[in-house]
Amino acid sequence: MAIENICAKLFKDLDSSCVAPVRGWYQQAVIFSLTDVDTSTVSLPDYTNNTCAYTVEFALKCATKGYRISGIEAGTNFKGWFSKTRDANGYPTYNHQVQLFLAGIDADIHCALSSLDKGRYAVALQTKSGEIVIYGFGQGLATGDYDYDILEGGGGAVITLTSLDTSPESLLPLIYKSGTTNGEIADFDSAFENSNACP
Amino acid sequence: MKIEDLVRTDASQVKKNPELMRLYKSYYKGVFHKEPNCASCTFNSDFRKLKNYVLNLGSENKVIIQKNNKMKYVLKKGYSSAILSYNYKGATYRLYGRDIDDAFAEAFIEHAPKEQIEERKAMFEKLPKPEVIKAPVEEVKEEKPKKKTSKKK
Repeated sequence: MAIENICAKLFKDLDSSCVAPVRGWYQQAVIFSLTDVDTSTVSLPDYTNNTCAYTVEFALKCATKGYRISGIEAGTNFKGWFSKTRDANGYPTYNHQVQLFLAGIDADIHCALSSLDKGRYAVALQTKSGEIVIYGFGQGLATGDYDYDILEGGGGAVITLTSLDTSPESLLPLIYKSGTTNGEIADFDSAFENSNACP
Repeated sequence: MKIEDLVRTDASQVKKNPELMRLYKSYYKGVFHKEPNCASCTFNSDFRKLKNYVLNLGSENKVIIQKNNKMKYVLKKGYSSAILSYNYKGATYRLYGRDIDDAFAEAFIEHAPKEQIEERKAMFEKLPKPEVIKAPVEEVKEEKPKKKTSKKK
């Protein structure tokens, strides 16, 4: 018998037999550049002490914030998901994807699209149960191919931000943890703004 | 929805409805000063606990009064939906007004820019009374008049 792989340890029973877990996202996304992240702490399972964690706590640099893109709450365009695959050596890798909707044509929209096409971003989404989930925190997300046609598709385009094939994530999307107890939603609603003036 | 109405709602309806769940967590925290440890897995027993507590007390006001009496800092009603934040050591800390506790309120005032301290204090309807520091009182010894002793010759 082989020795147990310590990283494959499960911690607890999960029971969804009575109530279906939450489904649905608030129709808004907060996007921030990975280069704006000042400090971050990723907490992962502690296999020695049998404690589960899969969270990230981060602070943006002084006088910076994320940017919120919102859609109609009755829609379903804003969502996040991930796909698991394996690299050539058998290690799991994850492709994070976030979908959002942009519509109309003006300078602001083009500036946003141009930046999203060129940079690498992390995206925060909020589930209807209040969890804040961060996609692309390790390697960043960039736009996939899209057709932006204001005559079709509701006057804009569904844009998908995705991990690059060359740099998939090694972790699942992370659950955001605030520096303040119970401050997750307030942080998300403030677009993670660091209001400290820069020295 | 008032807390009395919430606890009279069928528990399964509360569990299914995210908005009612949010209210339930908020009221639970208000009454017991902590969030339910595991909102989904211990829901039934926690919900019963809250229901018994509220219905035995008889009114929402008693609960709120109970909560407010225990807290040193109580925000004015208008600020419960406002995001309060303060900066400390390069990071920004924030909470919704309805979620703050005494420690956050204290830091919110303590780390305010000087010109905003009074403004922030004015956001609270209850603040802890400032401690009166008694200055050490020096005992003044009254000099007793010396008795003149007449020397008897």
